[in-house]
Amino acid sequence: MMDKETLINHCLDALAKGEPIHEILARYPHEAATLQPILVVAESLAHLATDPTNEARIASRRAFLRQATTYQTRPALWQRLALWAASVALLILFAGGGLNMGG
Amino acid sequence: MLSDAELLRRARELDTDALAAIHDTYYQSLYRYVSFRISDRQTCEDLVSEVFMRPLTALHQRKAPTNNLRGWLFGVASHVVSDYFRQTYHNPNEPLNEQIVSQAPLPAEIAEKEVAIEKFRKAISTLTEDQQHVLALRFGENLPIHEIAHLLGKTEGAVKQLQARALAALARHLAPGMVK
Repeated sequence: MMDKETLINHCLDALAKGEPIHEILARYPHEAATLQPILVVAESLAHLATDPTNEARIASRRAFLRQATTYQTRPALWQRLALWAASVALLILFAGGGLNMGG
Repeated sequence: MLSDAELLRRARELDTDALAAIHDTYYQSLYRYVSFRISDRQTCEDLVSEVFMRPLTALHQRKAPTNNLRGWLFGVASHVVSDYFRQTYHNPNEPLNEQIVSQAPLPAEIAEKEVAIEKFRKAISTLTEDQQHVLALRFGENLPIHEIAHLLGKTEGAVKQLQARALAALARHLAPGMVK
């Protein structure tokens, strides 16, 4: 005998294939009372999501690419740190060279 | 058309064409994912925009993953929605569904349908985060179980278990007394 979760998943697979709820329930008459609300809920869930408007899609795309542009022109933290470290190294190098020449 | 891996590689360089392609490919799916869990259209639009903004920061800071672009984006969407719920829980000023508060009187049938949808979403929000994520991918985005398993890095059995338990919990919530 199938456990309840397996049974529910069998019924959901059948529902996803387009089988009507009453036909699925007819295969499991002893569990029909329990399965029926679950399958009705599953069928209703398929209608919950909505599609976006074209205006929203365009506005989002524009904002996304505009934000990307600000990142393209601004170096990341690791790049700024690397630049800073290189500057310090160069400064030390030149300062050391200057001292040597002076000495 | 570029593969997800190639898109991600180019996106890591902040390549504009790759970023635009990612937006064009995933906007609709991510919107449907968010709208499965949130009714207000304006809020959905704002949150989906946020879903795209967060990865940009990660890409810029070189913290983006190197594969599973789709899984990454849906993961971000899940976090954005959770953060939104956390915020509205602490500061409860969530806008009402615009269709419900429309000035024009609604025909009773539409109003009833809207109320039923709200009831559904409220019930969904009582599920665990993982269960909500699975339901939104399965029923909002109509993804097959094996693909959800791949996105979440779980086994198909684990996803099926989450799905079955979530639906049983929802049915108990919406039709008490009928589901044991």
